[in-house]
Amino acid sequence: MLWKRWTLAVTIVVLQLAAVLLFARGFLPSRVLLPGYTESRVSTEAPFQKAIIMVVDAFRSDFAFSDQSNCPQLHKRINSGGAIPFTAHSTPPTVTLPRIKGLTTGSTPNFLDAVLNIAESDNSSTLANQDSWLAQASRDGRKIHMFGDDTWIKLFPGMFDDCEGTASFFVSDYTEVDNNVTRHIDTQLDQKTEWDVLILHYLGLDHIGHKTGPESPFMPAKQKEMDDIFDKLYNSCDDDTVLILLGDHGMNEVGNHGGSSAGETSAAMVFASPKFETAQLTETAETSPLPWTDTYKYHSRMDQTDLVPTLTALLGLNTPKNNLGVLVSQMLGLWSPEDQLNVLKNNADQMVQILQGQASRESDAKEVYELYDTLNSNPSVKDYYNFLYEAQSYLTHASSNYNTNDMLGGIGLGLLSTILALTVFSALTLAVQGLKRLYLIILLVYFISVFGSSTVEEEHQIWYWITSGWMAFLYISGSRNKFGDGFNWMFVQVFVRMMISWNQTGQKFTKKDDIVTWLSKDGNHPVLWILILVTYGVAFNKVWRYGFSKVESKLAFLLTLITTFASVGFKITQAWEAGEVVPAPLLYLMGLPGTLNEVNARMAGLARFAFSTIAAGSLYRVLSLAGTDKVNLIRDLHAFLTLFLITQSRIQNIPLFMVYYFLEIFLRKATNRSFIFSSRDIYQTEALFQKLVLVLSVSTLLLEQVSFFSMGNSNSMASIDLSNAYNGVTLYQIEFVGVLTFVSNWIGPLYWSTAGLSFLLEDHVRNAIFAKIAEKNNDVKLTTKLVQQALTLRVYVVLAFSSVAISAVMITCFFLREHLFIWTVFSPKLLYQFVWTVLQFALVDVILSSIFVVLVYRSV
Amino acid sequence: MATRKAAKTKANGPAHVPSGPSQVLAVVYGTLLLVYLRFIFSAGITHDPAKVMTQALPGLLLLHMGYCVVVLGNKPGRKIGTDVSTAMIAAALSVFFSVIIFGLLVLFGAPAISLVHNTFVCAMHMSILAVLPLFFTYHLDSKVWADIIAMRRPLDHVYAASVCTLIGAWLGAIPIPYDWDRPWQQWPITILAGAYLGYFVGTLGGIALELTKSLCSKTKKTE
Repeated sequence: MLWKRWTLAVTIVVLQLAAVLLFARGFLPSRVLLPGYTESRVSTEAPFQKAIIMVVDAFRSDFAFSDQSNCPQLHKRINSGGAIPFTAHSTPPTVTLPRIKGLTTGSTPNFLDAVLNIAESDNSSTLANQDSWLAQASRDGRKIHMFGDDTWIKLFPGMFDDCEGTASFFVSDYTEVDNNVTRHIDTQLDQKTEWDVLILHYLGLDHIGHKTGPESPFMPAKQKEMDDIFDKLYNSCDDDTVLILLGDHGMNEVGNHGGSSAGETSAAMVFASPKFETAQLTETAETSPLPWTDTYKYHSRMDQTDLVPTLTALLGLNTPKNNLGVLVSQMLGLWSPEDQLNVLKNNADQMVQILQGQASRESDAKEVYELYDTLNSNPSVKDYYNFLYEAQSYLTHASSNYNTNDMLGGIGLGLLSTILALTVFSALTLAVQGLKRLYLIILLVYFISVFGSSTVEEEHQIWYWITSGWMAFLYISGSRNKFGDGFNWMFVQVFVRMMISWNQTGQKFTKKDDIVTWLSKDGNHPVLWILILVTYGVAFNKVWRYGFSKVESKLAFLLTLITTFASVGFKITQAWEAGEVVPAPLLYLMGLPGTLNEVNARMAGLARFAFSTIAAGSLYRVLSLAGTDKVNLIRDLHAFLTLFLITQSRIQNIPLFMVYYFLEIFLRKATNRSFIFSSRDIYQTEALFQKLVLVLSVSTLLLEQVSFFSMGNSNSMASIDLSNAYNGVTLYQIEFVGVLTFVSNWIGPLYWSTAGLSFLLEDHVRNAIFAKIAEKNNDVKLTTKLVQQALTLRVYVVLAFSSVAISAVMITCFFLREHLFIWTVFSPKLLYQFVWTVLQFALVDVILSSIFVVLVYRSV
Repeated sequence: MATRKAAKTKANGPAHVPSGPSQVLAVVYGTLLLVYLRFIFSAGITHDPAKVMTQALPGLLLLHMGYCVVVLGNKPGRKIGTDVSTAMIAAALSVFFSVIIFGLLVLFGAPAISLVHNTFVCAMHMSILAVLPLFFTYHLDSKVWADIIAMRRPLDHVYAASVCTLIGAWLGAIPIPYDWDRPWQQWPITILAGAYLGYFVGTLGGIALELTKSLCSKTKKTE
């Protein structure tokens, strides 16, 4: 019977995986692009022969144009008319790879590009066979040199005559990564005949944003550095060279990007050349800097894709085939009135081809076609722009080509897994109908919540709310048994409440104060560090007493000491390196300050040392399994895991582990009191047993969710935290970085999943109960059987939720596929749910837990 | 388990809550409170929640005390004077009790530092609604109060109204995160409305339970 259920559990997991993959295939199709290259155009005069493209990663509009920007040279040029400023709208997903695609091909990227941006090793995203301004330049015999972010080199293999890539993965490097670009400038400017297009891509500013936010102390200096480089390039420009300074995307209030907030989508774009100073391109002179505004809209607006037709026209090249950009009107003054119409005609003729590929004249694109028809007879500049803007708007909003069969297939498999999971879950909880119904209601509430964009953005609120209700329910059922017993659940809720106030997350209330904001305030850093050290003390105690419990006590003390020290030392160094205020004694302890290279090497060493000792300790604990000692194995390994997770946390989140510690104490006490000591139902073993397992499993599941969001995560791509994804990694190794990224974002769920398993199976009292039941039935083997039954029920609690959740998200994405927020809200949710389902629920909660328990308990 | 519960109810003495015409009056009063809530809304709660809610407190206190004396105290052989003084003591106690309700609100997710005034006034409304009639009806009988706190008293319409006031307030939190940008989504307007609606639903539900119970016992007697 048990064996059957576990086979079925594996089947459900496989079904979920198949469902998600099939759905993704239909939902995230690779964009249908017109093949080939634009071969011809009306020949026009080229105002420029050479172009320098300077990309500053995450160069938000206010970094360039506001009165808080530290770019005086740029402002000077804007005021003199030599530089024409724009706020360029960056289409989400606002991450580098899709943005470079947009900036070079002129097409809007699909959502899959965002995923591939994280899994950067993927080769399918190359643009070698797509039309872009680089392809057009290359086919025209122009030479392109490229220095900076190696994403370009991956995207355009073999297209550069000279290049050097800088790796974009080592986020904590602000200086070296940019110096490696700048050191080429002098040589390149000395041999201007060698190239026609020079691309420079600076990553430092983005790294600063990720690590320490837009208001970082490093930010003004970095802006000045970029400004100086701009000035140097500008001074080297003759009348034949155009200089374009741009950000590929912006960043949000905390320095991350990927989403669709104003800060993330507003990038700076500047066209500059000494030629502009005399050409009088704009009607009114721009003044710079402008007062700061939270809309991030400065000067004129343009779309980032508009760069593509503008640049090709400026250099006298064909407009790339899939371009959706519109030539920037401010540049028209560079051409004669005749040629103005010709460059616009090139743009329009190219764009109408995409229109023909996508919609017929009879469709809703009729009006756009009519505008195109007006261009046949003596068109004016205005007529061209009427058509171009209308076509751009139509084509960027046209729906993607979904494969609805695949999507429906995925949903079907998802529903099948849901039915299976719920059926078995139902069969396993026959003795506790009330509790079962309550859990089903929770699933239903969650299912409904997935259909609203607000409730997806604010999903954490749902979980906080459900958890408070759940605790109230447990309070009542505890109190009804014996007055006072229920209060332990209220204490659990006190610590849940503390978790909730740690980080504000979501969209609506992000800016409200939370504990992290308070801890990060000037002058509060001693409190933060005292809390961190106390938390490390708690972790030390756990690792010493539990983790190294099989090692002789004094030796265990020593081993724990060096392991913990490596971890603390790493966090201190990391904090100092990120520009945080760290109390002087701690800096002294770590021999700080030091030079950046030295510190980086030391950090990698400390992290690796901590990871190695944690791994070695865990392995030793597993290998020293003997006889009856198996009982506390999960608890002991959980101690090591705690230290590992602390090392992977943002420093402001570390004290949360102390909250977890107290929560655990009260959770243990509450379950003991409510279900064991005061229970008069001891002889109704089946009901008691199912109630205990169900309450613990559901509580664990809720805590997994609450702790995930309370660490600052949300359903937005922008909240993916990469600041701990490279701990101990010096060369880019996708496997390690992938694992560390998952771990540092799923810290809470990993913690509570294992803690819950240990509670359920190992707590002494529970063992006693198992033993008692076993004794009563005169069957010693029964304990093992009960452990396995408990695990089975827990697995099905998880599977029921994960099937319902993934099905709900797929159904939402299917029905709302034309919804305005499909790419900004629901698709990121789909990706998050994918990770939850595959990595957290299937891999950690079901497969690893089961394998582990089966191995440990098979021969008790 | 069921037998144990029944035994307990008996041990705590006869029913304290009047039945008959009082039940009808209780429903009428519940409706009156909904009108009062409507009045609070039209008085501009969305412009300044804290101020309007504070101004609405004395009215609620008087209404509720009046309800206690006129409806809940309506038992044979009662003394009006005693009832009035009991109502006043109950009112004072319920105001003190609002501190505990405030604590519960924070525990269940109310903002702890900002908007304290709003939360506290909301807690006072809830405390008067839910706790005042309980103090009036059960005085300070420690056995009954232990049962009340442990949520194991049988649901007469006074107790049911109190329990549903709390549940209503909890359900009232649902609309807050939505992006409708309506002024009534401000903290804690929906919580307050949920509490008042909960009180009404609880009264109705409690009376329904009482009626079914008395029907059952009557049929048993005739058998």
